Amino acid sequence: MNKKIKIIILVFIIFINSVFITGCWNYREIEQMAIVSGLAIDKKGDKYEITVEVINPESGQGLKMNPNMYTAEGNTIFDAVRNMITTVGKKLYWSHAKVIVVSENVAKEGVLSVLDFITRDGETRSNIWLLVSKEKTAKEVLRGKSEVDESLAFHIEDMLNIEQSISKYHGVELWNFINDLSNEGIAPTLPIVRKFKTYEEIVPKVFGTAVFKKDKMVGSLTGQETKKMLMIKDQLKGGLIVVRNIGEEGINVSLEVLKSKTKVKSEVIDHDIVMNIQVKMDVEIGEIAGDEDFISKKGREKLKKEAEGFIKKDIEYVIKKVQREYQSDIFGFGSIIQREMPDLWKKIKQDWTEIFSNLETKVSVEVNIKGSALTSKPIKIGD
Amino acid sequence: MVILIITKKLVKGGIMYRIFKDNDLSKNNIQSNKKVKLKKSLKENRKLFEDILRNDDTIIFREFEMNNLNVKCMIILVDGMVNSETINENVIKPIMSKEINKNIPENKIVDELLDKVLTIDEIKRTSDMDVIIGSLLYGNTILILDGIDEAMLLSTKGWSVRAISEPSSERIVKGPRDGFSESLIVNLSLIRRRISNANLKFKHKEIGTKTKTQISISYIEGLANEKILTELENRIDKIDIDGILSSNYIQELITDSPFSPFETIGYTERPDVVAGRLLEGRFAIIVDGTPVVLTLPFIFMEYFQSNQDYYNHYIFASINRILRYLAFILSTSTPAIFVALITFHQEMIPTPLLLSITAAREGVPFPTIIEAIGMMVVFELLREGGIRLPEPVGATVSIVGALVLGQAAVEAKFVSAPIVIVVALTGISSFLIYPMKGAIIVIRIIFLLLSGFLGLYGYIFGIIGLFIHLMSMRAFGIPYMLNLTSLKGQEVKDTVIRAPWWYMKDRPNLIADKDPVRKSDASGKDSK
Repeated sequence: MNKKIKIIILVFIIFINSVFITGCWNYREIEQMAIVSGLAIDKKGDKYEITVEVINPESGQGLKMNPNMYTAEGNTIFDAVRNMITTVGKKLYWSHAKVIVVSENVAKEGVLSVLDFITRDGETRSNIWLLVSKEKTAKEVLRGKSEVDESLAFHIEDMLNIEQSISKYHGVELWNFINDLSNEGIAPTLPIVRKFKTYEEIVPKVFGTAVFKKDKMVGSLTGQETKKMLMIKDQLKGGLIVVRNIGEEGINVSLEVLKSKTKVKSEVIDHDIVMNIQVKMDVEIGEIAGDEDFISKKGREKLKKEAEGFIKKDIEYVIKKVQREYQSDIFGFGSIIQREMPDLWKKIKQDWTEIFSNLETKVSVEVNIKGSALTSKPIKIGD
Repeated sequence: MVILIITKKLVKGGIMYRIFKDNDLSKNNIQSNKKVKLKKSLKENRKLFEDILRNDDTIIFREFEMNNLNVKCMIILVDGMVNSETINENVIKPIMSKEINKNIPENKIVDELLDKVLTIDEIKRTSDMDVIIGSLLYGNTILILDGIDEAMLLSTKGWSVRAISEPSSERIVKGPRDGFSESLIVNLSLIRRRISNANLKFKHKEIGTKTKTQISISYIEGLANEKILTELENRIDKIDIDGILSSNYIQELITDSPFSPFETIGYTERPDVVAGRLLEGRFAIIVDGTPVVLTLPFIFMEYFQSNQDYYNHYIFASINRILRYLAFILSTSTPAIFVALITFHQEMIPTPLLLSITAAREGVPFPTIIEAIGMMVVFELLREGGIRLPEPVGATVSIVGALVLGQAAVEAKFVSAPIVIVVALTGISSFLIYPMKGAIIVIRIIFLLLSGFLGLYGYIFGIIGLFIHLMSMRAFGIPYMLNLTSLKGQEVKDTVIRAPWWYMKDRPNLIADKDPVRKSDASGKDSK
């Protein structure tokens, strides 16, 4: 009997504890929440202006999302979020928010003040996508009309998820951005989003990269430059490389990247630090816009050489551009030096920005052509 | 006396008390019967019988004389319980027609009849009135001679019996089709036919102070654990009840953990299942008047075993077995997890699913947990209604259930579509392990309430509680969760999977620990 009472008390204690040690945990009916899919952050004078896309799903023939936009102002982001209740009428639910678009103004002033709330809050996920708007305001990007996705936030998310077949932008999740921001020897980047008008729709278009120095945006890279940046950072997972004007007739050839591997090594030659960048790539011929033979052994050799030279030139250009114009180590060279030569890094850490902008690089590219899709010969033109 | 009973009823509150009183009275009756012995005079005897069996018009008395001896005979039988043809041809006819040595002394007549006249296979001689009446009411014929204080009990049982047919509650595709019927003797023969072994034992007992129901404990000597047998007989001997109409009476009276929704005694209507369990060293209790045979000890994993597992290919059987375990998890947990996710942990739902559930719940008036409990009640109503209703009306239930309560309720926004899906999935899954039905409903409701109040934490508490309960249970000394936590090949061979027969070397340990080897290694290798 005594034992039984003990067990009952024990179970009781466990149950009581469960009420107090549960963290973020609350009873809430699903239809009483305003599900936020995307957030845009602007600055209006001293105040932040946030715009959220709220999904009001409606069933019927298929699911209708009925996204709505709500805007609120506040001295801080949290203040603005709470002010939002007055317009939405429900408490915002952040766990399914997919994207945060920050206007260029805010990005140039520094994103730290914006991101703190989002990382600190219990509901927002750390794998939320961050983007910088190149339009005047960030909210414009979420305001539009797409036939593919009703919700533009989901539209952007879909776009970022199929990055590997285009590679002209690189999606960055919140935790990634914060990692790069707080680590030494690497600067964060974010993808850029614009508004794009087609015949009937106004859709967001993700293209290029915003370059940050500390938490402030200092410039941007184009889509092609982004691809080279990914190549250097060994983050290229696919996409095309168009080799222009080659052969006797000066035709274009599209190569599809199957696999890309980059090794970056640092070494010291005559008291100067030199970065060795070795790119190794498996590609497939995806398109030959002409009837020149690039399939035969000789043709292939030629194509390979042209492609290697082409890529090398581009990579060198991108590195130079970032070094000269932005002086921000988005490639993570500093962290490579820190890893390989920690003693040296301690000495140069203070002056890294300066050293980086004058850093010498050696680029070598190796392209292996693995196939040519379905056809082995260019289309012949008969008489 | 009546006043006394009524006043006591008021004080102690009870029909229970009255039944108890009744039992006492009947016990006194029996005791007074026991003292009565058969008289010598036929007339007095007839009067004795008529006195005991007064107001019973199914009792037939028939007096006749022997062929050449001037001795009066009388047979007593119960109409409908005996085979008239046997009595006419093998009792009355030989006695009335066969000549008997006239010089035989009076006390040898009975021997003479037994040896030369009566062509009945089983005859008992007694003068104990209690035994005689019991035997008469069980379908035997009583033969009494004038001047002899001894009765012959002739085995002429011949009541009508339902034909052996496939039990509708346990149909299988591939395997034997016979099932038990209501007759104890027929049932025993069905088991005996499968196990032709001298070690197969049937121990008869009589339970029920009023019904005197015959039961038989069956086991294979040398396989079955004797400790369990002693315990079982102890428990059965302690049963004190006026009547046993179905084996479930015994099941509830002798089971371990009587408050648990889980059973420690299994049941089946199939002789092949009983034979299989006997061969594993288990016991069977066959009860007269019911086709449901109890098997014990029954452990948790047996809920998931089906006889057709052993008749089908082992891969197919294992898939079915895994499906049954899955069904157990689904039918106990789906509503609980659903409610926990919807009302507490929305961040765990994939976004598209969250959106469609939100859309479906838009405008529904009740909280999710109320909705879930309501729909589960509706489902159980339909289930119970479907079983109870006469067959032609049965179709109505499914139409009403599917159309009115399913579709219309969703369209009218009384309930949301996801909850209907959840409840339907739960219901269908629970049919895969029908014997556990009661336990599943209880667990499901407890889990649902827990997760309705505490979210997934509550659900996990529920699971912990369930496991503590199951792990602490014993079935006649055998751990209820036997082998379910093991990792040894010979112990898991018949749990989550059904191993091929050539691998089934050992009988379940603890249950059949006297002779654990089912087949020797050598024969196993041969058949591989």
